[in-house]
Amino acid sequence: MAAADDTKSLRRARFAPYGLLSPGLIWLALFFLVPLTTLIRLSLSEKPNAFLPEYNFTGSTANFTNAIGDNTDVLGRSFLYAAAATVAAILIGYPLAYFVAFRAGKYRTILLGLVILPFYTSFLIRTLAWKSLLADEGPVLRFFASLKVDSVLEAVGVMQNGRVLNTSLAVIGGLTYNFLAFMILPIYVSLEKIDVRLLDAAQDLYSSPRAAFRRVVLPLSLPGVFAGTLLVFIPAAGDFVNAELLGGPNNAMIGSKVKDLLLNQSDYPSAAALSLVFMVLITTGVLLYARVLGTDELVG
Amino acid sequence: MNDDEMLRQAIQMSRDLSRRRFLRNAGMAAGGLALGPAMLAACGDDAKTASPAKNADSSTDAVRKVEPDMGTGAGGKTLTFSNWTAYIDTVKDDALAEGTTIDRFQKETGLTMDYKVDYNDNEEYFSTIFQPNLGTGKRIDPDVVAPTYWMAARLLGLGWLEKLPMGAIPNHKNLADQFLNLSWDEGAVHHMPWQAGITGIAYDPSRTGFELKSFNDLFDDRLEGKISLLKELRDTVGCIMLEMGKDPSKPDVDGAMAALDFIEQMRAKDKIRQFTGNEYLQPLSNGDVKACLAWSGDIVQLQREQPNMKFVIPEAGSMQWFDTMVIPKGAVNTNAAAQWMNFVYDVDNAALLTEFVQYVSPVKGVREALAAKGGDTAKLAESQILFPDDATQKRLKIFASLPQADELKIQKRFDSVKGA
Repeated sequence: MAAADDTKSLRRARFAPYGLLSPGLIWLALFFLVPLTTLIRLSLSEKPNAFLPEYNFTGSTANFTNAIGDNTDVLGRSFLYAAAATVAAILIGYPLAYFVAFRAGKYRTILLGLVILPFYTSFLIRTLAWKSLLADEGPVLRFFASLKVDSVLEAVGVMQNGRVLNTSLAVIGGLTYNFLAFMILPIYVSLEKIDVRLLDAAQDLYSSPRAAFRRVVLPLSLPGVFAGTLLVFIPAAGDFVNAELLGGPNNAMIGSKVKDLLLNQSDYPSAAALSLVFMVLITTGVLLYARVLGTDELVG
Repeated sequence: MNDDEMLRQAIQMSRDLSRRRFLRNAGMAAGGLALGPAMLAACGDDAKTASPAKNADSSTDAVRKVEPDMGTGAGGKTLTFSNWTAYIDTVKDDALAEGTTIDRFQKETGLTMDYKVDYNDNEEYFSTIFQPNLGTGKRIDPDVVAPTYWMAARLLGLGWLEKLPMGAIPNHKNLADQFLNLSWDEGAVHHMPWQAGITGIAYDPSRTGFELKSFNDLFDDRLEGKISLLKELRDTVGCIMLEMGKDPSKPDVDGAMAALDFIEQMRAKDKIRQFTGNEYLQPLSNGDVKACLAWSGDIVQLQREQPNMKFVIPEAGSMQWFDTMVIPKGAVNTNAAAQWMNFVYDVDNAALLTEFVQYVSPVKGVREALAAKGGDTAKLAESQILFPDDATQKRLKIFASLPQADELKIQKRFDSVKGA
């Protein structure tokens, strides 16, 4: 009797997780798998007449070869900019998160609030604000001019042809700024979880503060850095607002290309192929990164 | 940059509006500040519906001939017009208020107009509305739509437009001559221009330090990295073709490609700072861009704040563009559509529109009508930008309609040249 009950509840326990998962699974199936399948099918199709809504599934991979061939530079640039923005976000975000987690004391909540505060303004408005700030006769360049450092900045590549706006630096800066909070918050969470007594223990064992950071704090915060990297790198690589608003004709990113293919050229198959190439590249990159960093808890 | 300007740009960006109806539209987005791009874009879809009851609309798809050449009346009393935003006269931002063109039209004809401002972008409307519906033999809601001329030509080429019921549009005779002999629609029997404009060079001489007289002057070393061109293929490529002595009003793929090669060289030399829609207004105002390709209507507006700003139509010629009114295939109410076209081609009605929107009117006699009104309105009649003289008009070209394969070939090349 007792045994039968146990089996029953065991069986129930085995199915319960799936029941609980089902909303998520249905969501994934409807809004991820179905669109993805459509996208793959479309990328292997031909549109005999660009202006008519007819597609022939041919299974030809020509769209992929074209997508890669025509856009090598833009693909490379997108990843380069995103990588640069991610590194910059770690360099700025880590110390900030560290400070908030360990040194801010009672101001912790306020400081965290300040990190999130910019999100109360639309992404577009914030990016447009940079357009004004970085304008040739705007405050930033006027400040540089008053310090008479223009030629130095020009030499080190911060300025190009007398400007900051519409250069690669402006795009990378915009990406860093817009996604910075997505780096700070996960790092903060992982730092905040660290038991400070571990640091005391390190000290007791004659560790220097630097060694304690390197061997205790940093490894324990790596999951946060990993999560932050994903949250910054992936949207940054696909972003086109920063490139369109802060960049020039030599700074186009992949998002703009996909948009041009879709809208200007009505070439849906090529747009689908390019999007898939981008997805595959980014997924591969993320998996490699996970392998190197060995963050088991995040990738299972 | 003040808040209004930012808002305007944000909305514009979000719709990727690459045209010029934007300037007057600050009020539209109030409240859109904190919303994402998609939400902002949705603001524009807000139809200003005149009639609460759209009963007639759904009654039947059957098209019944009423009288030869007079259009069909099967759709009853409602007329739907999809137009660009800020492109019609309003009273306190209301296009249906007492005394507006739409209001007077409704009273005069007894028809009800469902006026929508959901035509934000030619390519977008084509991809999302025209192609999936008209391309599969379905009809679309609007009886009149306002595509730009080249899109109208594309639609006509695809067989997606109704012929205008000319018998119901006696005022068609008021159409200015230059619109009558377009290769893609001889005699303008499938479209009527709504408003037109000119593409030229805008600059402030106090910033450039010299007078710009030709498109070539844009690439002067003194302006390196300080100029912008337009994202609109036909404007940018057409202007450079004219400068090269080629005629963009004739189909000339090689000529267009040569112009594109030139533009690409200039881009590689970092001469061109940006390719823009009408977001050129901000950099042009704050000096980031000292000279640029610009649309006449925008510069007329800007000159009110910056009287130094000049708008130049080079000797070699420049590009003219226009937006049209067309009746999509299978439209329910072609007769009402014709009555509307007839109404706005009445000289006095057209003059009122010009007075408000300040684009180039395609209707003959508007200039005289404005002059007769006296006061500030009469000054508009003197404007060279609104009413180019005959010599200038001869220098203005409308980009040729190209076979589809050529159009796509040039577009593809242009997209790669403009980078973004």
